[in-house]
Amino acid sequence: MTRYIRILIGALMFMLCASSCTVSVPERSSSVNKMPNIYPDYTDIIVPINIAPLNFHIEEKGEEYLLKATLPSGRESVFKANSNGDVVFGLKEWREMLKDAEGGEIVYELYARQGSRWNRYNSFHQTVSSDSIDRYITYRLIEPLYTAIGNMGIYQYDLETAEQTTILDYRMKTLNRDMKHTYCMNCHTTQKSNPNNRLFYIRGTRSGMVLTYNGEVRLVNPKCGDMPFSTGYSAWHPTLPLIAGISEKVRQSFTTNDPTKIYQFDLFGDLVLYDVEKNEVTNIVRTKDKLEGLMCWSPDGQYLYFSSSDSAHASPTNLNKLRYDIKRVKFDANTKSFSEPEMVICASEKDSSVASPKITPDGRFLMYRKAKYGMYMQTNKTADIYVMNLETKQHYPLDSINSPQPENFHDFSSTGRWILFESKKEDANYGKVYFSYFDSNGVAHKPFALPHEYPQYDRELLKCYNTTEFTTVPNKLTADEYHAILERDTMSHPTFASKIDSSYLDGASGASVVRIQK
Amino acid sequence: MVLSFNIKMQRLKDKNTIILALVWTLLAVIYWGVYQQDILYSIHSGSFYTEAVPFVERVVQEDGWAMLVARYFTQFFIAPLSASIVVAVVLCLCSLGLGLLLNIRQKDMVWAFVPSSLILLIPSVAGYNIHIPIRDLLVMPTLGYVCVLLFVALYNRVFGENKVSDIIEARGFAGMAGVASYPIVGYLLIWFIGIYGVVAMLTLTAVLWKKNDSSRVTILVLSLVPIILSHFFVFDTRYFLSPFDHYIYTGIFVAELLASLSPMAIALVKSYADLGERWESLKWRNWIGLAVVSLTVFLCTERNSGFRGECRLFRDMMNLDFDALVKDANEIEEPNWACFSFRLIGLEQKGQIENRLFDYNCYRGEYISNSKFYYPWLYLYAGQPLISLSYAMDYHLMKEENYGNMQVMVIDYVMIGEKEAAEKLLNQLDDNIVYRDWADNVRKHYGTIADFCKHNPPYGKAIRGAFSNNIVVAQMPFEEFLYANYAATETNIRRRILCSLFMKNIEDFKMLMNMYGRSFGPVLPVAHQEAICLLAAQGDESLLTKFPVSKNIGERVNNILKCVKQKEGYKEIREKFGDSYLTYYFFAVKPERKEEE
Repeated sequence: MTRYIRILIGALMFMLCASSCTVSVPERSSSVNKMPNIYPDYTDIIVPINIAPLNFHIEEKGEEYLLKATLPSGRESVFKANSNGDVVFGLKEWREMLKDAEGGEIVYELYARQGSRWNRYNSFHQTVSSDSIDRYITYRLIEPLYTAIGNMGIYQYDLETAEQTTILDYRMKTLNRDMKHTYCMNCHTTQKSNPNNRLFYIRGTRSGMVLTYNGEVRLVNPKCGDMPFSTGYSAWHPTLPLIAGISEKVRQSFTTNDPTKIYQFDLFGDLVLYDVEKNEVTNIVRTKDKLEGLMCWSPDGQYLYFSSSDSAHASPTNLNKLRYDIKRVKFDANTKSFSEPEMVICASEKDSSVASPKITPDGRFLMYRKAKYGMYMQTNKTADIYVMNLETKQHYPLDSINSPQPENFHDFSSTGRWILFESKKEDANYGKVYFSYFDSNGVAHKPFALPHEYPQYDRELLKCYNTTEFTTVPNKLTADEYHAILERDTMSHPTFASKIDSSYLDGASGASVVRIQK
Repeated sequence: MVLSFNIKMQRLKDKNTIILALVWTLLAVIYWGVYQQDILYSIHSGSFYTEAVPFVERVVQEDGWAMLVARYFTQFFIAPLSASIVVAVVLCLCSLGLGLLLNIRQKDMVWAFVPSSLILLIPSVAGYNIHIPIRDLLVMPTLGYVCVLLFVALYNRVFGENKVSDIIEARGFAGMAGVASYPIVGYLLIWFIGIYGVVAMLTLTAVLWKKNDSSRVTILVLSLVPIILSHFFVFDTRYFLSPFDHYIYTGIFVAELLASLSPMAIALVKSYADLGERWESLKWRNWIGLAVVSLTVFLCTERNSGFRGECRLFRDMMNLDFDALVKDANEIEEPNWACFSFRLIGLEQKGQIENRLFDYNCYRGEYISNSKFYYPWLYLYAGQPLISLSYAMDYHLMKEENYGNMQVMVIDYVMIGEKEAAEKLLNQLDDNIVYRDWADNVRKHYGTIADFCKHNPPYGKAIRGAFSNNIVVAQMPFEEFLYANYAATETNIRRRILCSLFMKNIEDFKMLMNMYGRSFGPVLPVAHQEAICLLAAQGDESLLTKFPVSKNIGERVNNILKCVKQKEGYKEIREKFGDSYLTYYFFAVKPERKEEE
């Protein structure tokens, strides 16, 4: 028995030793004078100091691959790709590399062996920025055509370790026999000053907002007073316990041959404010002849920027004529009142549409989506990301990140130095998450894809990333706990503190009467 | 122990046992490879195997590894005969193994084949549930059976002398290492092979129970402890019943539970001699038993001609063999709605939709169904790739991946010119040795839609007429198929007129004929002429005066109407005028738009 144990220990020691032995690049190699094709494209990018290993798959012919990394200090490391042609960095080694290269560049050189010959590709680099990126992102995974809730879920991703955890997953229902309800879930968002305060929406047999505030989870159905519809997309006030939301009626139309595939549009949209502590709803912007939509607060909380369309009603026949502008209202925190809307970006005059404003934490830049029509631009191929310099009022597209396919769901990290966005540039259907360094001049640099331990994960994933957002702290509740709350807790109904507009109400029943053109 | 093992092996070398095993294997091959081959093919198309990463997520779930292995083998069901040979041989070996483990005498060896026979039955009784690939029917139970026997054999080998003290000693040792370390046995079994893990433990309990008269309670408690503790210590209670998930489907429940528990039941029979002198004196009991088992399997098999026909037509369609599709569809005695839809596709491809649509045995058919399983194909062949894509995606994610949907999605993406997305799916099909060639073949010609259509005529034909950007609320595939809701091309107008006949909406037919009837030229299709006569018989001769109707057809309609007035039954009228629109009009179940699922 002892003999076997010795042999086993010996074998283990040998394997350990073998694995730690240094690999070196071939002494003789011939240059092929081209950049290597790797997936994802991590060549010549700026990366944050705390990002997870940027593993990649080599798409060049070869029987064996070696990658030489040269750090600013002159230290060199050589990595051997696995049998799939994947370069997978160890987390500890990767951390050390980034630390050594902080503020400088890691230069990579790829060698591929074909028979007895080693080919050497042109080197590429990764500049390591000392600006760290927010550790977590949250997103929804959904099939690209949004026709069924299917296996939809909201997830959290740790950008330092490349690990995904589930916040809420529809699949849990199939495993939990006690669950009586089905959910569609969306729009996960956190408060910038206190990211532990967060919310997301559920739709289905129980519809409303799942709100986490000061560690307490509450189910809220914000529809009250003369609001004809409940709220959807929302934005936390940066510091106060206030949430702005759209009281909206969203619809989707599916096309038979139009490559846009889906038109998502609002039939109705007004802005309301939910006071978390008072459990109270008030109007922000209430219009009968306009649609108000996606919004954000300025970092100081003094303004609310939002999309607004003069088209009173949308219908399947005029969707590609629906144009949105970006407006803002000034917020008085003392009286909790808003000024009249003022125009910020008037795109409708130029036959285009702008939506989804987001402002850098320093308040200098406003980022938005621009397309030929509409507010929801997930499948709109004309959708690109633009920036407005709020000091100079200059507008420009972020050419380094835009593509002929839709770009959407952009967000700034808490420092403002990193942006994330979803792009369908790879295959026009399955949206993926990308990051880009956004420098102090308002320039976005070459983007890089969400890192995974298995580099081709997103390439094989048959789902679309959606409603992505940065957050600095992890979600504390498990999916099971959320499910228990969703099944157990009763829905809270806020009071309505604004003046009720009788024209919105049915005199007999008190129910909302909104005429919507079908 | 070695001596005892050799004695047992001698038992298997018995001539009668060998013949019994060979006959059973042959019957199993005929049953699956010949009689049920279309069902095997359907199981294959409803399953999916890939080494891609998302699949790894599934592997770590309960049943994960068993599912992975089962799905790997299920892909070979694309060739039903060879697959059935492999399955039959494995199950035969399992049966012999069971006979060996339970010391079944040669004369009673047929008992050992009962669990295998029941496993053969599982996919068939699943019926329409084969579209819900919750388990890989047939391979999964077979795999579970193999695991059960291996586990019991291993356990028997270790504790072969049947000394209770040894068992307790071994368990005690395990117990010393901590209670949680012992349930790991149950955990591993249940986690990796699901319900069969429980069966393994129960079978083992039964085997030990049978062998040890003095310490039954101890054995029972000690054998069941891992199962119980593993659930409490390792599993979340949420997962407790997950191995039983598929039992909500009644057919599977009965067959699989019986198959799972039968080894234990056989083990519990103390001695077959106890069955009585008459049993003991029965000379041919193995063969009588085999006949009973075979008859039971056959009688319990799903024999609904509509369902079996549906599987056959599905296979024809996937093989792009439209001649066979129409021919097979016409041979089905009681076609269901899916058969009707497949026939529709076949007729469309052969250019016979107007002339032969109503020439069908449609009396019992509940043609309009809410089941979305076939929607992707229907819409694909109706020339609506985006709607097809939408349903394929929906079904793909709601009911797990399957090859059929992957293929449809690839074709849809190619048809709408998004080859990058098609490539994403083709990359996954590359991981599958059965579909690799198919993927390569698609790649060869998907550069342009025109080139693709030229080399894939069935898909090319699907893209008929010009598309427009109409918004479609897709609910009724047959109607949509007949009346493509887009550009007013001649084909679409003619489809729309046909649709009015299909919907038995004679008023709509009249209106459309008045507007577009001239596009048919001098000779109208037979069904249209009959409908004009029907309208005249109802007192409206406006179309009769406007369009030519053949004298023969007029006389025929009169004869049919006479038969109907005389209240002749469907069978008689079908025999005489089966190909007439009037037979459809008077007897087929009226198509109605139903609510979404």
